Amino acid sequence: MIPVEHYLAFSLVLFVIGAAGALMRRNPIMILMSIAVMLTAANVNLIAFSRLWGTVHGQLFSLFIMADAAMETALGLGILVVCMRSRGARDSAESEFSKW
Amino acid sequence: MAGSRLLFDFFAAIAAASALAMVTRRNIFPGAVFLLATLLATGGIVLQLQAEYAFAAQLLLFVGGIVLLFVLAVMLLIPDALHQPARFNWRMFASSALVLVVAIEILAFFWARHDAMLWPSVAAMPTNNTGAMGDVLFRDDFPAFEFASISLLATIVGVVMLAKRRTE
Amino acid sequence: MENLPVLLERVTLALKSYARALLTENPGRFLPGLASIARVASGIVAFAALWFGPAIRLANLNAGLIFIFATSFLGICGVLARDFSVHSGSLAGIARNAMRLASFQVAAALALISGVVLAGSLSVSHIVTAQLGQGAWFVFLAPLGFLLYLASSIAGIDSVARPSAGRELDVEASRAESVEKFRWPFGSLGTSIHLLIGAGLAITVFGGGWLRPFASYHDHFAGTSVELLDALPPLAMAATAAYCFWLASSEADSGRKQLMNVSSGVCAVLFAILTGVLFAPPAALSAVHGAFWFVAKMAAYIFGFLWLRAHMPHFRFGRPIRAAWNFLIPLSAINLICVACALVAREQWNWSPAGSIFLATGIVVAIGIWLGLRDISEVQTYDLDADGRQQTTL
Repeated sequence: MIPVEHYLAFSLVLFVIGAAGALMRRNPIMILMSIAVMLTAANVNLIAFSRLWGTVHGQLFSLFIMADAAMETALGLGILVVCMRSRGARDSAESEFSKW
Repeated sequence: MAGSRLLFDFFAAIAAASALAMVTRRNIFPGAVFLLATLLATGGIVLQLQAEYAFAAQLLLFVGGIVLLFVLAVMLLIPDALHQPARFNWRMFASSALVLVVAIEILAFFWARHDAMLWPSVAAMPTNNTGAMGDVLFRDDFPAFEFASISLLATIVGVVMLAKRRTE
Repeated sequence: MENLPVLLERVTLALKSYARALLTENPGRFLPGLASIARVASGIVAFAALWFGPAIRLANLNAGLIFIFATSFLGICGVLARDFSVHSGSLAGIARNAMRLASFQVAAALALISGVVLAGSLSVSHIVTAQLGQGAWFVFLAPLGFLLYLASSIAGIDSVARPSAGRELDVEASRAESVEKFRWPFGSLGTSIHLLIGAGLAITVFGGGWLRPFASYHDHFAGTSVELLDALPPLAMAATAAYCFWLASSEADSGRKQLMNVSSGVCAVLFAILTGVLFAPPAALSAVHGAFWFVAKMAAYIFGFLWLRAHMPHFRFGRPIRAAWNFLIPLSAINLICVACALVAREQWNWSPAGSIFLATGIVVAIGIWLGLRDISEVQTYDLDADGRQQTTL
C-alpha cells in the first residue's frame, strides 16, 4: 500500500509547478493552463484523502472542481479570444507555422 | 505491492516532468501537448486510488474538454500567442521565491509529522463506485449538484454571448 | 593514455551537439507521429474496458462506459494534431473539423445515455446483464436512442482523405505529403479503431452485448443439454465456410481463390471450435459463444454503418455543426427525458412496456419532425467577404 503522504507529496509538487507557472508566465493561455494543473493537483489531494477514509465525498468534490475548471477555462479563453479579436488580430499569418 | 508502487512512480514522474516541461515551454502548442500528458498521467494516479468515476470524468472533462479548448484557442490565437522573448523581471524572481518558500514550509510540515499520516487501516472503498457517488450526490449534496448545473448553464450562456459578433 | 582527455572531449562535444539538435531543432517534427500514436492508442486503450463475453475482458471498470467514451475525445485531440501538422488546410477549417467531431460526440453521448438510463449502471457488464434481466435488448426499449447514436456516429466519424497524386505543388506541402505517405495507413488505422469502438459501444448498450438473440429461450435439443439456439453459431460458420468454398471454386483469379479457400478454412475451424464448445462446461460455452455473438453483432453494425454512410446524403441542413447543435443534441436530450419518463411509467405506474415505449418514441418523433422541418425551412445565408469567398459561419 502506498502511504498517503506520497500522494500528498506528489500533489504538492504538481501544485508548486502549476503555481510557479501561473506566477511566472506572461502568456494568458499559459497562465490558464498552469491553473488547470493546480486544480488537478488539488483533485489528487482530495481523492487521496477520500481513499484514506473510504468514502466518496472527496471524489465527488473533485468532480465539482473539474466542472469548475472547465467553466473557468471556457470563460477565460472566450474572453481572451474576444480581446485578441478586438485588437485586430487575424489568423491569416500562416507563415508562423514555419517557426515552431 | 511492488507493482502498484512502480505504477505510481511511473505516473508521478511523467506527470511532474510534463508539468515542468509545460511551464517552461516558450511556444504554447508544446505546452498544450504537455498539459495533455500531465492530465493523462494524473488520471492514472487517480485510477490507482480506486476512484473510477473520477478517473473517467478526468479523462472526459479535463482531457476531452479543457485540453481541446486549449488547443483550439492556441490554434486560433497563433500569431499573437506564439513567440515571446524571455526577459528577466523582478516579478519572476519574487514569485518563484514565494513559491519555493511555501513549498519548503509544506515539506517541513510533512517531515515533522511523518509517522502520523500513514494509513491507519485501509478503509474499504464501496465496490460500486458510481452508485456510491450517485447516492451521495443526489441525496446528501443535491444543492451542490443544482448549483453546478446552474453555473454550467451560466457559463455556456456567457461564452455564447462573448462569441457573438457585434453586428453594427 | 594521453589520448584519453582528447577522447573524452570529443565524446562530450558529440553528446552536446546531439542534445542540442534534439532539443532545439524543430520540435514540431514529432507532431505527426505523436498525432497518429495518440489517435490509435486512444482507440486501443478503449478496448481494455470493453467486454467481449461474460468473462472476456481486460478491466472491470465501474464507470467503464464513460472511460470508453472519453477515449474518443482523446482521438479528437489526435485528429487536431494531425491536421495541424499537415499545413494544408486553413486554421479555421481545422478548428471547424475538430468542433464537428466534438459536437457529434456530445450528441452520441446523449443518445448513449438514454440506453444507460434503462440499465441503471455505467459498468459494461451490468448493462449487458440488465438487458438479459429485462428480457429485451435496449434497442427495442429505446429505439430512437440507437438511431440517434448511429446518426451521430456516422456524422462524427473523421474520414481520412486519401493523398491524391499531384495535390500539392508547393515545397512545404510536398514535404508534408512525403511524410503523409507513411502516415496515411495510421490515419485510417485510427479511424478504423474508433469505428470499432463506436460499434462496440453501440452493441454493448443497445444491442445486448454478448447475449444471444432470445437469450432466455432455453429449449434444448431432445436428450442433450445443448440449447436449440446455441446451434446457430456453428451453423452460421458452417454456412459461411461452404459459401466461401463455393465462391472459391468459381473464382478465376488464383489469388482470390486462395483467399476464399483460406477464408473457408478459417470458418471451418471456427465451426469446429463452436461445435466443440457446445459440450464443454457452461462457462466456456457462454464465453466462446458470447464472443461470437458480440463480434457478429459488431460486424453487422459496422456493415450497416458503412452502408448508410455511403448512401446517405451528407447532412442536408448544409452545415454539420448546426445540424448537430440545432437538431441532434436537442432531440437526444428530449429522447433521454422521454425514455426516463417511460422507465418511470413502467416501474412506478405499471404501464405496459409497449405502451410506454410507443408513447415515448412517438413524442420524440413528433418533436424531431418539427425540429427538422424548422431547420429545413430556414433560409441558408452565405456570408461573403470582400473577395467574394464564402465565409461560412457555424
